Order: sequence, then C-alpha cells, then structure tokens
Amino acid sequence: MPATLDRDLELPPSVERPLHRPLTGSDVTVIVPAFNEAESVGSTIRSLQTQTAPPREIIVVDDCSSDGTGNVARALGVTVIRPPQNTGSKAGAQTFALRHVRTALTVAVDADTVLEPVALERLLPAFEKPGVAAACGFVLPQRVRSLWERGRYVEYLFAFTYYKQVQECYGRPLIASGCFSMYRTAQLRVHGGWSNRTMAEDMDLTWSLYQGGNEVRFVPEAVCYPIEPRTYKLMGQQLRRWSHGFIQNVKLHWRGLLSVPYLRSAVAVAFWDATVAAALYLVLLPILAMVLRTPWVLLGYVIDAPAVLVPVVVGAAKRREIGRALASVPAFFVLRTVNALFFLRAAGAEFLLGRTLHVYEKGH
Amino acid sequence: MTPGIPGTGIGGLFYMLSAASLPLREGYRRVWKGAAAVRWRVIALQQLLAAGILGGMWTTGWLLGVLFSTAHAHFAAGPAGTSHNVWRTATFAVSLATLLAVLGTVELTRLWYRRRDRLAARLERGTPPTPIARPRRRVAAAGARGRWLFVLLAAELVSAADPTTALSQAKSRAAISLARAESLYETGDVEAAIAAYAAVLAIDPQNSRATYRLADLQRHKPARALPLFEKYVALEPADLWGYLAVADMLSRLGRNDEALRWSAQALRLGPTERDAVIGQARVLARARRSDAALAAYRAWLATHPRDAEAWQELSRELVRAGRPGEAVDALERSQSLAPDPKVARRLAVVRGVAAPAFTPLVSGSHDSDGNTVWRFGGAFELGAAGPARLGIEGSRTHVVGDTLPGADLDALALRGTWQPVATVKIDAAGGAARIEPIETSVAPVPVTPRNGPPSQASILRWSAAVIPTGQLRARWRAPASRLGVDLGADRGVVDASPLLVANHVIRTQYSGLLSLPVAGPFTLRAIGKTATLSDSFEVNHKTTLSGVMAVAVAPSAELSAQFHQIHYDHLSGSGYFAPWQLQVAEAGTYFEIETPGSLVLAVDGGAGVQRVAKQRHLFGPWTAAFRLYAMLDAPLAPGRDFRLELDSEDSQVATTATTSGQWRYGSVIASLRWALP
Repeated sequence: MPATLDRDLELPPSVERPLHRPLTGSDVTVIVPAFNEAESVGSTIRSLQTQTAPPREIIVVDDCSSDGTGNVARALGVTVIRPPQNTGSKAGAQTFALRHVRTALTVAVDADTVLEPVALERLLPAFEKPGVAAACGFVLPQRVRSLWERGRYVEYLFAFTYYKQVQECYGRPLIASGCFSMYRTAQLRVHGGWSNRTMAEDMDLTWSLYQGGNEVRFVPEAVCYPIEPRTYKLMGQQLRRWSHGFIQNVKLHWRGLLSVPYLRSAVAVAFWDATVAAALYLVLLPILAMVLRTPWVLLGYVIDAPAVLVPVVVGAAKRREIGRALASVPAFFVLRTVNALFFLRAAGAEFLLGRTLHVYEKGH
Repeated sequence: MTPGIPGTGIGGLFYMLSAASLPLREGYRRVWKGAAAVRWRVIALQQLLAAGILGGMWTTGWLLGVLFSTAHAHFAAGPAGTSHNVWRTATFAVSLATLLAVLGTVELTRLWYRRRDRLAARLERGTPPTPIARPRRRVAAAGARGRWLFVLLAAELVSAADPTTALSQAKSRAAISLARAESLYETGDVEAAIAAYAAVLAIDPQNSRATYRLADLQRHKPARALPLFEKYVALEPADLWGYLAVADMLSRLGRNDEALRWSAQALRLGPTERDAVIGQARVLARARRSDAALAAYRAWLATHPRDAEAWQELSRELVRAGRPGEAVDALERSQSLAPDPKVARRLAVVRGVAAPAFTPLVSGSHDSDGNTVWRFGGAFELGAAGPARLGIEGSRTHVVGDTLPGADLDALALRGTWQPVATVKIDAAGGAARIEPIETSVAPVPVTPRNGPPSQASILRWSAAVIPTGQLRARWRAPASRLGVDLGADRGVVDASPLLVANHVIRTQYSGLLSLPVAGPFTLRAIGKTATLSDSFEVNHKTTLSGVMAVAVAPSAELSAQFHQIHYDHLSGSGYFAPWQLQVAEAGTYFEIETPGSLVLAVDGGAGVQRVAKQRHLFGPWTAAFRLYAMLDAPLAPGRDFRLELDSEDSQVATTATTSGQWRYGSVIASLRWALP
C-alpha cells in the first residue's frame, strides 16, 4: 500500500480528459480555383497528391475554362466541379466549392502554385489551438527569370523573412496569402466563404476573421511556389488588382480593425506608405533633385539597399540562394517603384475619383 | 501582397521598432499573463535582423557622407560636406515623428469610436449615459491629454446628437447576426456558432441571449464560460438558469462554497423548479457533500418519482456513499421508467459491485536480504446490505530466506465494513493466524539482546502457534473539505522473513492521521503511529511521526513534501532492524487516472533522502530513498475486476519491519474480483 497515505481507492474520481485526435491530412479538403490554367494545374495537383499529409479530397473548380483545364485535372483523379457559368473571380470559384467540403479544414491553393511536400503537414499543427481560423505559409516565386519575377522574389524574401515574422510574433499576420492558406471550414462558412466585394478576397477574409475574434497564423516552414507575372502587362494587372484590393479593404474594414491590436497599427502604417509615402517617394525626390540641382538626391531611391539586403540575404541563405538573391536586388527597386505607382493610382481612383475596381482581371 | 513601398517609408521603422520591443512584450506576456511565449529563437532572429538593418542604415549614412564629402571636395557639386549628418538625423527624426503621428491618430480614432459605441449601447438599453468619474488630479496631470479628451467629448456629443440612427443600425446588425448565430446553433455546428455569437457581442455587447449561448457553448471551458454567465446574470437577474449556470461553472472550477451560494440563489428564485432542485443536488454532489446531495435527490424523488434522470443521479451518489445495494434499486427504477442502454450497462456494473463476490489473490515479494514471501489466498464478501457489508478472507503465506528453509503462515479472518453516512467509514476484521512448526537443523543465528553487545542466542521458538489478529479502522472526512481523520488499530504477525515468523514477532499498532486544509490547494497532514513489537523474548516499541505538506495540482493529483521520523526503543534480537532513529525527507507525488473505459491507474511515489542512527550511535550520512506504489484496476466485465499492484522501496518508513539497514524491497499482487450472479 502507499507509504504514508492509505487512500481510499475504491471510487477514484473520474478525470475529465477530452479525447484528442491529432489533425491529419484526412481533415483537409483542398480547393483549387482554376480558369484557363491547363498549363499549370497539373503541377499543382501533383504537388498536392505527393504531400506527406495527403488531403482527403482535392476539388478543382473549373470556372468554365476554355482550355481543357477540367480535363487535365480529371485525368489526375481529382474531383472537378464546374459552376453553371463563370463566377467572375477567384473568390467566387472558391466559395462555389465550399459547399462540397466535408472536412474540418479547407485549403485554398491557386492553380499556378505548387507546394513543398511537407507544406500541408506543417500547417496542420497551427489548428490544434481552437481559436486559430487560418494559417498561411512562406511564398516564393516558382520561376525567377524575368525582371518582374526577380523583383517579386526579393520582395517576398524580404517580406516573409522580416515583416511577416514580426507580425506573427505579435499574432497578427497582415494577410493569409490567397495562393496558399488553410482555413477552419466552420469559420469560412460563418463568413460566407470568400467574398468578391473587394479585389483582395484573401485580405478581406483575414481581416474579417480577426474581427470575429479569431487568430491567424504564419508558418514559415510551409512553403509554396506560385507563378509570378513575368511581363509588365501581367504584373500591371496583378498590381492593379492588389492595390485596389488593399484600398478597398481599408475602406471596408477600418472601423472594425480599430478593435484589433497591432493589426490596426500595421494597416495604418501600410496605408500611409501606400499613399502619402508613395507620393513623396515618386514626386518629392525628383523635385528635390531639380530644386537642389544635384542628381545625388536620386540616390534616395536605393538608399535603403543595405537595410533591405539584410533580411533578403538571411532569407536566401537558408535556401542557399544568396547569389540569386543578390543578382535580383536591382529588380526589386524597379518593382518597388512600379508598386508605389500602382498603389498611388489606386488610392487616387478609389478615394478621390470614386472609381472602384469591380472587374476581376486575371493576371497571375 | 506587400502594400506600400517595402523597405522604405515608415513601415521599415515600424517593423524595426516592433522587432526591438518583442523581448519586452514576450517577457511581459510570460510573467504577467502566463501566456505561452512565441519561439524565442524567432525573436532572437528578428532581433538580429533589426540590428543588421540598423547597421545597414548606419553604413549607408557613412558611405553617403564619404561620397558627399569627396564629391564636394572635387566637384563642389554635391551636398555640403558636413550636411550628411544633418540629413541623416533629420530624416530619422521626421520618419519617427511621422510614425508616431500615424500611430497616435489610429489610437485616438479608436478611443473616439469606442466611446461612441458605448454611448450607443447605453442608449439602446434605454439608460442614460453615465459620466465617467475620473480623479481630478489625474486629469490635471494629464495636461495635453485633458485637452484631447475635451475635444473627443465635444465630438462625442456632436455625434450623439442623432442617436436614433446609430440605435436602429446597431439593432438591425445585431438582429441579423443573432439570427445567423441561432441558425448555426440549431445545426449543431458548435465552432461556427461560437464565432457567430461572438460576432453578435462585438456589435451588441449587452445582448443577453448571445451572452448565454456563447457561454453555454463553452461549458467545457469553465474558466472561459464563467465570466460570460456572470455577465448574463447581471443582464438577466431574474433568470434562475443564469445562477445555475454560474454555480455549475464554479463547481467545475472547484470553488464549491461559491457554487453552493449561487445554486441556493437559484433555488430561492424557483423553489419548485426541477432544474433548480436537481442543480443544487449536483453542486452538492460535486462538492462531495454526498449526504446532503442524497437528501436533496430523495426529497425531489419523493414528490417526482417518475424522474428517471434523478434516479440515475441518486444511484451515483449512493455508490459514492458506499451503498451499492440501494444504488441498484435506484437504477432499476430509472430503467423501468425510461429504458436506456447506457443505464443498463451502468446497472450491470453496480450490480457487480453489490453482489456477493469471490476474490482470489496471489502475491510475491522479494527483498535485498534474500527473503521471499509468497501468498495465496482469497476473500469472499456477501452482497451489500444497506450501509454494511460482511466477508471472510483467508491466506497461506510461505516465507523463504537465506537462514532458514522456510516458514508457513495461515490466516483466516472475518471482515466487515460499515458506512453509516457518506463521510464516515469503519472497517473491522478479526481472526487468527496459525504459524506452522519449523523443522530445521540450522545453527543458532546471531541475536543482539536488549541494551547489550551482540552475542549468540538461539532461535526463540520453533513450535506451532495460533495468534489472534485483528484490524479496526475508522475514517471521517468533512463534507466539501479536505479535513479528515483516520484512526486505526491492528494486530498481526510480522512475516517479512522466516526468522521473524519463527520468532513469532507480533506487531500491535495504533495510528492516527489528521488531514488539515491550510490554504488554497495546500493540505497539511500529521501522522502518528505507535507500535509494539513483541515476542516471548522481548518487547520493543516503535514510534513514527510524519508531517506532509501536500498541494493538489489537479482533482486527482497532488505533490507533497514529506518528513518522517521513526524511533525504536532498543535493539532487537528477533530479526528486524531497530535503529535508534531514522529520518526521511522526500518529495512525493500521487495521481490517479481513469480512462473512459474505467481503467484506473493510481501511482504513489516518493524520492528523497534518509539517514539512520543506530542504537547508541550518531546519525550516519544522508543516502537516497525511493518508494513507488502503483495500482492498475481493469474491469474485465461487469462484476469482474482484475487488479495489479506493484510496490517497491528502499526506505524503511512504510514497512512494518525491515530486516537490515540497507533494505530494498519489491512486491507484486494480483487479484481478481469475481462477482457471483
């Protein structure tokens, strides 16, 4: 018998211990919205099928494609659904598929995005915490060849190594990236799926989740590779959509965001940089150069290069891509200038001219 | 998407400051809020990045300075040679001021709208806004903030000039959200419903229905649900279900006295309401006030004999109170009213507990002195009859050691248990043990006589003998408290070695344990034992004093710090180790785990140090002391339970007698309780 305490063991009090089953791939359904993505959707599906935590179902939404996207997907053995007519946006296609989801978790993956084999497995643990409604991963361009792809490569290395990590530490990633994110299905249904009221449905959903008291996580170990715009035309389409989407979301959510600590500051800072700072960046430096009659002032466009290089090199070093990152840095400054231009235009159009962008123009 | 101009602007500064303040934030969260910190490795990396970026910025400034100086010297076209420092400082100051202005604007806007929302909520409830009383000196000290507050107040008054619009908008938004939440609640999608009700409360914080529902959906998280239920009671003070819910949550959190007060309040609001009566009985049951709970259930069932659920709950308390026979009757009543497979299974289990049962037992133990004890036996208990239960038990023990070929011991006893009320339990046993004669030609063994030097003495007795044995134990535990008393007396043969059996060493012991709740989860236990070890050659006395400070870390788990001191009057020549004093200090743990399949594991372990002072010697050095007891109880079928017990120790505290000062021991007991149909 016990040494000093001869306890009454006849009726031990029951211990309330909830049964807990770790989340697995069988809890996941992947939605792949696709409109004329016959070239890339195959790679996307294969990367999903070779996951270490294979999803229970892969649903490709063939959004009335004309290039045989549905046939490519069907040949790979996944579920293909086709709405009666084109939904008009990625958000529409994803929401159309949501009613077919029967699992606790839903993943949205763009049809031009491939995942690292462990990506889903790495995201799953985030959902062991009940309050987490969405989780996203690290994004890097699939191809890094053209000027624009290189610029985006450096931008992502910088943002996902530095900005997003800090946001994650504060529990407020600014956005669960639309190209690859995992959601709690119940929460998606609460919010009616992905809304097409803005051009950035992922940002809209992320901020709505925050306002509903949910958490969003960033898991840098879950890496995905979307195809980024390789030409200025495609890049312009994407930047137009993104910049308008950001401004629209700020207009839509600013009141609600006031109650979300840190995020409200991060959004305010981003909004300032996208509008006022962008104007100063694009206009002030040339004016100063003219007024002071010295071209040295234009060095201001690249003055932060050493500061930018630090997180970029750190991020690239982990991937053993330092050479590629350094070679791509000049492209980043070009993209950043164009980026500022598009955001400035979007702010002017949305705020000053009242011209809201409604039409989802597919780029990449 | 990276809005803005990544790398430059105030975003870079914002994230650098964010990264720099991460250690402070995480330290605060961990120390003050008990929150799990994010990975420190990530924080360290961000610190390094921030430091690297700062270094990069400094390098840029330095390079530009060199560049400008060179350009000015050679071409007189660049900026002035010394101006780069001014530019650098001014740029940083402007960036910082801009960042602070942006963040300050956000915070002020937030405060403004928060006050507006509160005002709108008050208007919606129909109560006039109450001015917030602030200490005068704080406003005076605030200075500029006071002026801001004035501006905000003026703006608030302006915005409140047309409250109707805000009111109707808030109402409609809340109503729509509530309807959506109710719909999700009906579909059983708990997670979505929780989010939806939270969304309702974000719009309308005073919505009592959403408050109750949100709390109700989180009953399994009492700490989270409790404040919501309390808020609900504040919103709906006439609703007794709110009080019951608060009582339920408090009860689950172990705050039983508060729970009883809340359930009593519910009972006052609805003295004939079933949920109020049964709710209070449940709180009483959870508080381990079984007698009061039994009275409450019985009073209810006297007037509502067709309440099957109440019969089930009554049966549970009857089992807990040691009356399985009556519990069977209660469950049979429940089944006759509303047959339920789950209740049928429970009934089968309780019938097994109440039925006459046979329990065969086998055990084996071995110690470091080479003694091995085998015991084969069994017990038979009659069916439970009210608060009493009778049985008989018998065993044959074979003891083998290095010095003697073996000794045998037969024991037979009548056993009875009486539990007149749930808080009192009395066990009694009386019988006899017969020691078999030992036939051996082994030479006499060394014996240390009383108060004298070691010498040779013969083994005292080799003949058969019948020795009366007995046990009496009375336990009392205060209801809803850890206060308790445990008194015991027992007489038996010490059978740790053949020599002890051959010498007919008999131990007669009286023991007492007082368990005293100190504060919070802490309980102080004082234990005292006095034993007489006698044979025909000598009589020795053993005194044990123990103090235990235990802290309950879970409903079925506790940690403890223990100190034990044992004293023998004098040396013994009968074959047991009798030092002058033995002290043990140890840390102990006790826990029980019960699986959904009713498999029970109980573990009682301790580790510490001990030191021994032999008779007329000083204390020796501290040495390690360990003990472990584990019990596994596995129900094989209703009425058939297999039990396995393991016991191991190298501390002399717990044993009746040890045979040397360096004693280690291990034992296994296996038994099977087989209820007769």
